[in-house]
Amino acid sequence: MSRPAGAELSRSRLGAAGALLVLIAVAGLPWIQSAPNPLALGSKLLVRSSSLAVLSGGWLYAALLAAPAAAALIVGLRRAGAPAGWWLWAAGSTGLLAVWLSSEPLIAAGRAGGTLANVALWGSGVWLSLFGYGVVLYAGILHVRRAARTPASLPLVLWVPVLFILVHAGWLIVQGEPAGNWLLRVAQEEAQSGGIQQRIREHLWLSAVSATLSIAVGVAIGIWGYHRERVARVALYVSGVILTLPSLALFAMLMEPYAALANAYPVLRGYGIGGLGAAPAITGLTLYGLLPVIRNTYAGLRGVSAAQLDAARGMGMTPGQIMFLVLLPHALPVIMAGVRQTAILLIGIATLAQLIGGGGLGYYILMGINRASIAHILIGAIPAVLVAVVVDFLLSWLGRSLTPKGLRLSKGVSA
Amino acid sequence: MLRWKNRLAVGLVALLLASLTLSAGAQTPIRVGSKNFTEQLILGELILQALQANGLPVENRLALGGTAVVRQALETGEIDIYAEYTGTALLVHFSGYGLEIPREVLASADATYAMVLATDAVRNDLYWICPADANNTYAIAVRRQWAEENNVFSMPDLAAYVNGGGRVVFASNPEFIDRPDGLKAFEDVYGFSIPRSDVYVLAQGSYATAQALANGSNGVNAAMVFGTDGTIPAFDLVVLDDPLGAMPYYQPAPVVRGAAIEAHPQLPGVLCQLFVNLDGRTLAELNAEVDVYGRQPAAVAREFLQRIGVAR
Amino acid sequence: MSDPIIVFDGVTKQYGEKRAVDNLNLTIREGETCVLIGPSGCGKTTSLRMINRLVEPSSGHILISGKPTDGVPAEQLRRQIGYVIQGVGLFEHMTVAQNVGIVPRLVGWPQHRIDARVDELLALVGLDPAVNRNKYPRQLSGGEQQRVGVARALAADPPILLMDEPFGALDPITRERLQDELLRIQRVVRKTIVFVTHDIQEALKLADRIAIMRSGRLIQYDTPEAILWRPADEFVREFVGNDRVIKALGLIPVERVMEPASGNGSGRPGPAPTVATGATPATVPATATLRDALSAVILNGLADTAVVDGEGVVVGWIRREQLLATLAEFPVREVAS
Repeated sequence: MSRPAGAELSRSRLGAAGALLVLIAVAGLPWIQSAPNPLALGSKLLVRSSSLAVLSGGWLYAALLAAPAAAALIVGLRRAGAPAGWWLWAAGSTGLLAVWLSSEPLIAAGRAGGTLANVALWGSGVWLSLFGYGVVLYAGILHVRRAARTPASLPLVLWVPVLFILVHAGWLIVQGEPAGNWLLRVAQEEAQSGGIQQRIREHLWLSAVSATLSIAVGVAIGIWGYHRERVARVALYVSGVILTLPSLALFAMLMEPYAALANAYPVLRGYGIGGLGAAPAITGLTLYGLLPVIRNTYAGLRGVSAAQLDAARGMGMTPGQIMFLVLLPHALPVIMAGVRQTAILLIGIATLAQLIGGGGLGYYILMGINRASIAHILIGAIPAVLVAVVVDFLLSWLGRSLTPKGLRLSKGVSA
Repeated sequence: MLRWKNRLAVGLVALLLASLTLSAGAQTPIRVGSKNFTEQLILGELILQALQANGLPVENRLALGGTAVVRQALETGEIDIYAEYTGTALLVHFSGYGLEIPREVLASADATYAMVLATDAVRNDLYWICPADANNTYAIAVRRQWAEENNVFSMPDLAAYVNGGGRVVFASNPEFIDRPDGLKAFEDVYGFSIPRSDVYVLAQGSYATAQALANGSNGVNAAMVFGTDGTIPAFDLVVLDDPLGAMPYYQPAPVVRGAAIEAHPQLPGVLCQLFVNLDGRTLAELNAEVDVYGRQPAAVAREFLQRIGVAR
Repeated sequence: MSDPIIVFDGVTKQYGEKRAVDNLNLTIREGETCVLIGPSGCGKTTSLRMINRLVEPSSGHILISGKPTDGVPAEQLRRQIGYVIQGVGLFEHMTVAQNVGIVPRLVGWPQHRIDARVDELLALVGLDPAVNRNKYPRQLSGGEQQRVGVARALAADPPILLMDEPFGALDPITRERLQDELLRIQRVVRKTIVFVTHDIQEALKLADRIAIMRSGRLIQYDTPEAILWRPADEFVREFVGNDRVIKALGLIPVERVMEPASGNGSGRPGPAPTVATGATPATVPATATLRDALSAVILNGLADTAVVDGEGVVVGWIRREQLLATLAEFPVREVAS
């Protein structure tokens, strides 16, 4: 085989790095933490952290879990190209599934054998090996994607192992049997009481409403700023400064005017507008989301070539027609990129809405902080991350399909 | 020219909407709020479910935020009721009123409650119904082993330890450090002082501080806890005695807006029936159910209400 | 002589202290190709852009068909004037067909009429409609893009076409091809064309009349022959170049000087071409100018040279004597000016 090119080598090395992380995790990091009660989980006094070898009562199990990583390490250091990619993908998938599927039986066995106490939670070993195998998988996907003769639908299929784990986790949470893993157990309780569903809904609602407002206002300001340089400068500066404000401070500052407004016109309370809750949270989020949209709208409009604008004017288009027939379609891909940034930003910051009673997944994160419960923090954070990933995927697909075909082509290409 | 017509239109619409909301007043739900930590969630759920069991319309607005946020919500009418502590009201919420608070009042639970009841009723149209026989006051805790090693089991012991050259690294939450009835009160009454550079201010609530104490993080050997916390048994901590009564009384009681009582006259009766059954031991047990055994506040509340016969 | 269609009446454009165009008086007749040329900053582009009001005159009027241009809203005026620019400015997010059909669409033509017109114009500018209709600008070469640009400008059938250095960004071969195309198209559509360039060769090739400008002023406005033979002043003489006689040869089509071939396509008295052994004698295409013919004749050792058509059939001869006689006229022409 010929010497692999630079980029290919670095992808393989990425896989090797992931494999190395797994080996470190399996070799010595704590695999399962257990404690007599959830409060004690953070406490060194009462937590027993068992490494994999101790838990399984032998190195055999550890070796089995590490075997795919060893294979990935060898492949990653020496080979590249599509075959290496498939090896890495296979190793990553097997490893992920092995770690994931073995954790519940491990915990059950540990409880039965008395090495684990009441409350059992994943230790850093599991997290690191999941991450490491994820990296191996990703490196494999990168290789396979770049190889020739891959159908366009393939990449999605390659992510099936991860999707399987997510679906399986979801199934574990909603089905009746109490899980062994404390994290899953808390998730189960929240799912049963309908709490987590409510919080996800609230979170989506907060993010969606504020993102929509950000986009509407931001695009309008961007267009205005395109016509008036001074407006653009001020708008970009102000929206940038807003982003530097600490979110807690901004939300707190918004409480007062809304409270005063609701007191002056009590009718507004009926519509949910008051000093607490969604109204100030959505306002704060909208303000945060403005910068990417304004900046991208402005840049996208400015990016239209002078020749096209001169031709448009010279052929007799009105300013309105130029905006809608030439400028906006051309700027659309860039604007969509800004929309994506805003959406992801707001999904993240929306976790803070709970500080002023706005609801959302921040409810769990704050509760976790208050009760020193890592499980609650994760139940708030992980769905937020998943929502962000899904939204990012959907929006980038949307952006691609909204991009006019003529702009998707690079110059000098025949269709 | 046309402006008066616009104003007339707006006025008519406002009038219409106002009449709609006023006529709907009888059906307006009672909005129950609470702070973010476990005991507050439990009290909030208890109030919520007790009202529901008695056929009153309620709206769940629990876990709104910290003390300041929730109190402001009550004062501005965002919520109608939440469970507050008498000492908190006297020393924090009323701090801007320029009141004279004699020592005898602070030393008596009943006198504290009476003063709080009177002041809030007169000034804010807020009514404190039936305090529970519990004292969720601030306390300082240490690890059992450390207590035994250094023979520190009470506040005077701690003062002697500090004044004798011992170093205390203290974990606190933001409120305990800021409030005049917090660390400062202990220091004034028992005559010692901890340099603020030896104080770590952690997150809201009291569990982060207890955890830091249990872990000994950054050399922490003393931490702020609340009298009814579940962390005390969970970490086997020793709560230092307060023989001189430096800490005021913190009896939890439901605080209700006057408008809500007018709309639902049976409200005080229902609340009293509930809070009469809550004493310090009961509250600590309910807290432990949630914090130590990992159960949901709503479920714990429901079970308790069934036990005392308020709900079925 | 056709009617005046564009009239500059004392037009001035002032930018602060500077006069970009200084009291321009110019009359362009219907069906003419008028080329504005001059060094950079002479005001040729500004003058062009004042016709369709992309630039508004500081003083003076421009009349189109007798009516002042500021009498109608600017957009309405521009929709009746074709506009082609150096950067082409095709809309990248639209297909070729959508680009060409844009002005008819703005003006409100029914779709079927637009479709027919698009196909007609693409064929006119030398692009196969079936192949090119649905392509996007990024898929076309520079030359193809400019052809589409010309088609787009002609779509609503405007009487006037403004062209601002349209071929300046193209390579010389494509440029020459597009110049020939433009001449061919003009023979078909007979528009009034106002063309800006800085290339004197291009001007001489394309123009019916050339307007030489300098520092905002019109220096000379004449036919190409007149510019070459009777330059108004030293500046024009220098601008045109020291080889203006050779350039003038480029204005004379070969057909005017050649002796048509007799029926049997042969019979040539005169000395045989002196060529290097083994080399074929150079020939002249029938579409060429006398300048190209001179080149071939020299290669043939100043002997008679065949003029051939597209298939290589001899259609005439350049006789050495006829050529010399033509050349001898030039000093006379010069004196006569």
